[in-house]
Amino acid sequence: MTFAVKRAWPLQLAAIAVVLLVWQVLAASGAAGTLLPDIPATFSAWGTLVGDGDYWAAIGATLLGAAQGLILAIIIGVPLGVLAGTIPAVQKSLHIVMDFGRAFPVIALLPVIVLMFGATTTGKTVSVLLACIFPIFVQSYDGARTVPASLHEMALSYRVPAFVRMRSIMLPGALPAIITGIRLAASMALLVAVGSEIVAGMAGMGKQITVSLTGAATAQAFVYVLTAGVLGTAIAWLLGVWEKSTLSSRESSGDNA
Amino acid sequence: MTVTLPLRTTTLPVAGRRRSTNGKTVVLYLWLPVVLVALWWFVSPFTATVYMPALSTIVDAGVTAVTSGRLLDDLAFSMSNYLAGLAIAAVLGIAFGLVLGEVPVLRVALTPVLDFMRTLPIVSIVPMVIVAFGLGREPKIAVIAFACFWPILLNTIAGTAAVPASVHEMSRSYTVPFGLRLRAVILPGAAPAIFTGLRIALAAGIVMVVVSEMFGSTTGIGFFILNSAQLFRVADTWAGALIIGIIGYVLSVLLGLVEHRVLRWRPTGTFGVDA
Repeated sequence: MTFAVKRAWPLQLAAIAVVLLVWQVLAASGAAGTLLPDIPATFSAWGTLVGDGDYWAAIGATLLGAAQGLILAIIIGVPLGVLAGTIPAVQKSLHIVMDFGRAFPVIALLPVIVLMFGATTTGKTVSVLLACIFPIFVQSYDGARTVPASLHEMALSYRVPAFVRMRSIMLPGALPAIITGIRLAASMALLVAVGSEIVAGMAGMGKQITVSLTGAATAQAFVYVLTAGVLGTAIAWLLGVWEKSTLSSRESSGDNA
Repeated sequence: MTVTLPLRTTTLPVAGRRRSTNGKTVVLYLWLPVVLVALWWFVSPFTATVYMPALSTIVDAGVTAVTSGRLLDDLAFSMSNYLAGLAIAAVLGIAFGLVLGEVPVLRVALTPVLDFMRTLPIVSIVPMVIVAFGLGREPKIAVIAFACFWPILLNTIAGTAAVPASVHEMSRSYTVPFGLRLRAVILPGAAPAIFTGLRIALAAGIVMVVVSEMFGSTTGIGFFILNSAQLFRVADTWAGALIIGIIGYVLSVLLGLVEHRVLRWRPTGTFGVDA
């Protein structure tokens, strides 16, 4: 940046005001058709929903499926990724597998998942798991590869048991990259959870969007979209704070891996 | 921001004759995918269930669907939407990204708005757009473009803003005209980040292709996948999913080749914002 912008928040408030104004003008003029409800309609719908148990139940159902899938992906993906990062023989050949896994849209398998597990929380969890495991695996793998080979070799030559080697050397070394992976996977988890609910009708915010639209309650549908955005931003912010704190603690401890 | 950490350099095989080195590299890259596919091919007949057919059955179903022409129309519909959406997103994302990257005031002001859009699960707008604008092609292209726009925009901003201030100042003090500055300073500096954005957009866009066709469509690969599952033609469902996965992979490889060509003057490394 060539110069520092001194106080950011007045500018940022102004920008948000402009966005709201554009939204209101687009909605009121009918330029966006029935896509956009206007601001008063949206916030009155939001006010009603906040007092409605279904709203909170939908948020809970989406978050439950997203969290379960994400946690399973971490439990499976982190050890596999860290392990793969320590095996030189697989490094080149993992490129193709990882690139394919990243390019593959898991949502395309959703109809099969629904046949196998039904339009249930389990089905949602499985699709989130499949979508999240690749970003977590890739970041854990990259993180493990940043651990200096000399450290790993020293542990080998002192015959440090494999489990201790993993827990005390590889995992801490790979941690910042793993947390980045978890942050990326968390937004993926929310997206796949909502997407599954839209396509397959599992209970949650995505289903509420389609149900609201069927009843022509556009404002209500839009509130669920905005809620998903608020949740996504909050989750990303929290994980970003965690990510920064692990990075700075590494820097201050003089760890230069 | 992506954490860019120095990677342990891989020891390259000592070059003997060039040809044998290439052969060895190809083997190093391919053995694991080949083993995995072979395992799937030979093991799946014994573990096949109604929902997870043998790989040979899936391939048969895919070949039949393609050669009968049934799937080709769907693929043409999906791919033309996908490429149109990507192209719109690339043009708008790079253009706005250059502006925001060059004008710090705008960038700082819009940060909260961009952060919100970056984390909004964009699939959630698909039903709203399709209910408002119908089942045709244009609403689908719009949601694909909308999803692809944000990663391209955010990465272009990051790439443009990361061009060192000294380089900017020097080109300004020599009064380099804007057109030349854009071509010779800004774009090359931002190019690696722009490619990162395009790569993320490829994956984001293909999800939107599939969802927009599963939610409201009677054509397209997403419809093919959903419809075949509803008809219990599960091998077709798997074939459709694998084909869209292979297309996504091939496009990312092609993008990698273009990137390699465009950026051959630059040492390799990663840079960019994940969205």
